[in-house]
Amino acid sequence: MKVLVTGPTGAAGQYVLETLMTTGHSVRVLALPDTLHRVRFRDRIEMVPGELSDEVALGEAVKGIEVVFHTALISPPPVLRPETMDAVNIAGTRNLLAACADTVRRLVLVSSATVHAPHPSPAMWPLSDDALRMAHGNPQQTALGESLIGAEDLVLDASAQGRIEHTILRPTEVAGRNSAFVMAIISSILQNPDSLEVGHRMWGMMQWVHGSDIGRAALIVADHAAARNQCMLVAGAEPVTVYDVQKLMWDVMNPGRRDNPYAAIAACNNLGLPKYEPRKLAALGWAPLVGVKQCIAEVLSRLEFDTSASLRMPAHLLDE
Amino acid sequence: MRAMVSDATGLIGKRIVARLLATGAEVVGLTKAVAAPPPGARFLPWPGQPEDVAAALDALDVVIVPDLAGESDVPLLPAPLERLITLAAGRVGRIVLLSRADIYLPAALADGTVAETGPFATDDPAHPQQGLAALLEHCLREAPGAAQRVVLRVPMVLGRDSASAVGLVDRLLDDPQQPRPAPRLHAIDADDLADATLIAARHKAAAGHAFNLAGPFAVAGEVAASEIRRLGAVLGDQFSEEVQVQPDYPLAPDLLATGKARQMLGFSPRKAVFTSLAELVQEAIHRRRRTGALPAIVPLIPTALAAVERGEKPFHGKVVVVTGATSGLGRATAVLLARLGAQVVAVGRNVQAGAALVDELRQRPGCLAPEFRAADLTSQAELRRLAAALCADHPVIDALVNAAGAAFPARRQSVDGIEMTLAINLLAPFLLTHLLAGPLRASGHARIINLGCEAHRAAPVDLSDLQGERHYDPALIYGRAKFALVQVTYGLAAQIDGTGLAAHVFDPGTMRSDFIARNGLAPSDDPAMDPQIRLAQRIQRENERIEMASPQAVAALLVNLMVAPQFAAANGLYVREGEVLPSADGTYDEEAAGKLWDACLKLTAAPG
Repeated sequence: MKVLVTGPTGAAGQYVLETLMTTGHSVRVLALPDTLHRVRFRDRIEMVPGELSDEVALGEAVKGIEVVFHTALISPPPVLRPETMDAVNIAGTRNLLAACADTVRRLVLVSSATVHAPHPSPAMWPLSDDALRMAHGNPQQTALGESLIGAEDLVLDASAQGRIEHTILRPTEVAGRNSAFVMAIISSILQNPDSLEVGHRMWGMMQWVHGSDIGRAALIVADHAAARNQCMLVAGAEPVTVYDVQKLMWDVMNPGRRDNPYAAIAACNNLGLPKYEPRKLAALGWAPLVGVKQCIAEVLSRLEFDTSASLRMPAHLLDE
Repeated sequence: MRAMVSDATGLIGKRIVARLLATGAEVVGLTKAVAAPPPGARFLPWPGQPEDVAAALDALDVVIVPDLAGESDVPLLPAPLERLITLAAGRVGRIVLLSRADIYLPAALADGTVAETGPFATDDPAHPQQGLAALLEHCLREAPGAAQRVVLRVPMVLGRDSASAVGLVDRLLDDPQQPRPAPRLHAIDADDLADATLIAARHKAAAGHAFNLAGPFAVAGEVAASEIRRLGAVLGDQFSEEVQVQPDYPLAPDLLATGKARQMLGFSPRKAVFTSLAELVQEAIHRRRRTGALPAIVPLIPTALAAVERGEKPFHGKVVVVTGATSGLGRATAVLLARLGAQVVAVGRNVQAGAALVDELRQRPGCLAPEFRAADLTSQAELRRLAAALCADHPVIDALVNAAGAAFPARRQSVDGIEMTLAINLLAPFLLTHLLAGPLRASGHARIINLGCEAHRAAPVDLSDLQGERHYDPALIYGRAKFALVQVTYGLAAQIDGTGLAAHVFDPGTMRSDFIARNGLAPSDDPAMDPQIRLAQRIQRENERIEMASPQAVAALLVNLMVAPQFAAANGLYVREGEVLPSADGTYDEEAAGKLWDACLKLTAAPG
């Protein structure tokens, strides 16, 4: 099978690419010209440099392709103007669809679980794949939700007209390389280990899913008859709060010890009930393999060179 | 590995089968009733054909007997299990028997922590289950044969799919008088137990040993009961104010000493009893929601958006006129209405933008393509022409959304010689509503929505200088026009009250739009301004813009005013960001409103 990956250096796209490298599929990527050097497996793939606004590049990218993995949607952090998000996520998806509908068989869109309507109370859990959508949250999250819903609607419309098949994957918080979200949480815990209430209110109950699990999910749905024209949640198995992250970070940094000082506060802030239940993917035999602790260990091992408190930067610099 | 699992469809048995299959083992399951085996497994009836089972046993490495740890309220007969153990002892490599903690002396279980060495209960006819555990353990010990034997002694087993555990939680939730389940609860989760059983089936050192298995810690029965009731409140009501942080509960001493399993098998249970209880309560609550004993979850989403999501068409067959439909809120409203099935009549000045709107909606499946009518609403002649055409084409109009609006930095006059801000924001909706009165009344339930603005609060109408001839301040004149529009809308609402029609003022709140920039109203557009200050202001405006709501989100609230059940019988509301608010005090002054109404009639020569 000949497939195209858009956004092959992103949080999800790089893992989709990585997973594809374990198969016999012939892979092409559409990458921004200034990210070409970060695309991995360059010796084994075709590369088309270009943007989603570039009709010529898009036409070249989709030529002869059977399945498109559209993972090039953008999201904050850092802060993005709503117009920028719409330009990439909505207009970009429209251009891509214009180039590939009627010729490509299936489009796998990696959206986000944030498109679902708010469900703050545990009484509303677990959320499943076809829950209603509504952009919500702080202004940035709302703008992201609107642009993702806009992109999804374009795909759903094209699919309803019979021009392409779709599978929309909606991952929860994405961990792995390039996960600005996980990095932000971990460095905020490192810098302020004693005041997590704000973070707890902001992030609430999370269900991290590792990029490699998203990559496996994308590969499963690319070809599966049961995944045709479906929207699917992609969620990790462990519900965690920021307190659990702190506890697990301590576990990673203190191997073999059993006297975790953060265990009690983590336990009393977590009911242990998952917020998202990815039923459709589970029915296809998918289950997340990478746990939260592993996601944390992966980031902690890199963080020392990055923004770690171990750099002993002056306090006023850390504050920035 | 080749394994046989009895009670293969039971609470523990099915989990063991699933785990064995996941590791690539060959699995033979024994079932009481006929059941379809999962892919890869083979099921035999038991006690059914002992010859088949005996033949199957010959080729096996391990037999796992989890029956005793299954549902506690299912009665068990010892004879078939004894026969199975006896058959297996001479044929297979290892037998793993799941036994019960109540093989121990009740008095010891009541006060202390019991290790694998006892003390044991003597046979007590009052507790037949306890006798059953003793009987089967005895049978396992004494059965002749070379099989290795492992006994796992377990307390109460908890799992979402355990009918007896959910039943217990159900009773505690139903009846506040219901006593605690037991003095101490030291349970084990069904998944943890299945994991431990697999270790016991494989681990070399396990042969010939009995192990206690239980959860990470025990709690007092009262604690479990109060936690279940707390969880019931949290999970049973989505609007519950119940604190969601678990209180600091004391732990009770363990019922069973589990150190041996930890040290010899390397098994530590993962799921705390509180998590198991939360799962059980969730299960009980979901069951109530299904049966209608508890109300269904209310999605936290405006009715209009929920209709879009569900593909409903509440506006099917309805005609809605939207002015200002080529940009901003008007455009978003037109798009949303079209998605909800409405025949939208989009009115605007910009012909290209109108064509783009028609084009976009035509390409969307499930949308009716809108009609676009080009008209400059500041011209009363064009308004009359538009209205005449609309009345001719649409004998019934179900809603009118007057979304067109503008503000101007310097005083300008319309072709009719009327100040522009007043003409577009007040007189255009006033006149259009009057001219469309026939088709609107004909619908019997028409909704008329005019757009308000917070600016009206600081700008009461000055009837002596309605058109800003003496003094022109763009913000003030705009605020006055909106103030007047609120008054006019209330007047209209009073006129149509009781006819089934309704008129509302909808305030979009802080919404992202080009409203300020379009007519050169932004302060930084002043060419004399210092470029650095201009840049700083632009950045600040950009940051403020990021914080604002999008036209689509606001349009959902606007359309909600027409479809949500809570607004069905309302008339003359002032709604801001989805909430009903009072407008400025002066807008409720009926005498002033009457004078304004007459002034509007005079300026527009509207029909009555």
